[in-house]
Amino acid sequence: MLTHDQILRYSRHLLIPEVGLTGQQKLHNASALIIGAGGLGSPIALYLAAAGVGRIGLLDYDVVEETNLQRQIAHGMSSLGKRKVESARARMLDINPDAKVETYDQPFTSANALQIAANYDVLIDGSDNFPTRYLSNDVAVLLGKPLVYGSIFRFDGQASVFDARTGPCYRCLFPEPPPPGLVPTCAEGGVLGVLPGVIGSIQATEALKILLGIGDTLQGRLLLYNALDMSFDFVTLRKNPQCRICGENPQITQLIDYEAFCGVPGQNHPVSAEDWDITAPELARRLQTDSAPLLLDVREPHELQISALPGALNIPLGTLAARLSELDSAREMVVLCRAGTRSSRAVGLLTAAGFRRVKNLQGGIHAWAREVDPSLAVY
Amino acid sequence: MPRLRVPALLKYYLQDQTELPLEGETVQEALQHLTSQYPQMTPHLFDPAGRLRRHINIFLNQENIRTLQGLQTPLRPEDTLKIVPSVTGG
Ligand SMILES: [Zn+2]
Repeated sequence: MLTHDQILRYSRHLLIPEVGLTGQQKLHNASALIIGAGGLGSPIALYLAAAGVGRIGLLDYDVVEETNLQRQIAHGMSSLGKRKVESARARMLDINPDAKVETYDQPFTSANALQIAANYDVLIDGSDNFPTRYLSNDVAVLLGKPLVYGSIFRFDGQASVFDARTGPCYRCLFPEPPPPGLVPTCAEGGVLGVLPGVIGSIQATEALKILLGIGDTLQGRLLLYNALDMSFDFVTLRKNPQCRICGENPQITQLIDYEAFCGVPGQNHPVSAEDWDITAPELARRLQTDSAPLLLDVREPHELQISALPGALNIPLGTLAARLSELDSAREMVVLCRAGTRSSRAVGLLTAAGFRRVKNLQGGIHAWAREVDPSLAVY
Repeated sequence: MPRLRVPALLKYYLQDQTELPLEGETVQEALQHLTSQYPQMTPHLFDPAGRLRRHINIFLNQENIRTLQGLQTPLRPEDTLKIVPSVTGG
């Protein structure tokens, strides 16, 4: 039974016939796991807490940084440097002290995912990387739980509801991740700050509808949102009979190594970076010599307007594979980007393509600004 | 004439266009024509063996071409082809 205080708090829900006292009680008894407390996770966490979802799990293994605040509205200046799950939890409890917020300050891995997710009615994917997305999907399929999907890049968003018991799963739509380096992440490509607000709010809406058992969810449909055109488009999703986890002959019957599957180095597979990396001071020294290496900047052209190294050749990572013929494989090359992630992917791509004299500027142009030329802007 | 729609992620390889007319009788012909006009697009759609990449979905209007006739799906003048790649930002 709801208390008088709760009846007052949820008054605007109780006035809706589709929710009412019965629905509010359902939410109170319901639980949701939010995977990721960043751009998408922020509005999801705040709205689910405000709506009175009884138990909310929040998983993230990151601390709040200044670059998060442009979009991750669960966090603020007062939580810089704090664990994201703790920062978001404080904000959720400020909105609704009734919420039971269970925090998981750890990475979501094959070792802990099933155990954590088993305790929740609905799983919500607010992660920002492919390994976690495939892991979240497989966990949802194996446990037979609905997964509310959302994903964003720059001005584009996608959302859907996957439930392999009655419809398609994430793997039915995307059987495999893109090859590493081909599709940039938000950290590499940027994102409009309000975009996760739109997509995360849609995910929160779908989670509430699932928990209430009302309306038509996005199951069987993929929402394609574009903020520049302000367009909402839908395409039909169907179960793929050949799906490796929910198809007619599933090959995946337990969790796998998702970092290996996605071709990215994980916590368990440290890259032997020493051979590849060059530090900013070392590069500065090398550039003064007669054997100065070619500088290859794999950022987007508009990023070079913020800060750049003189003489660097600009080939954005996304176009690199198609533009290898512009590069001389005999010449020594140092690849750089903002913080070193894209450039290390570029080094991987170049090495795979047969380039042998390629190095990665460790820490990117940020490290250069910190250790060589403080007049450069950090972004 | 059938039209193509792509997300911003891919417009950089299409001279900043998110929507453009397509030429061809089938999806395959249209994409061949497209990649001959915009060669930078090729690695984003096809793997080195020339197969459509597994993280790329192509929808003819509302339907995934995988559930139609794949790349052989015929195009009608009123059709819209939508390329939907997986994105991972959160
Ligand atoms: Zn599936």
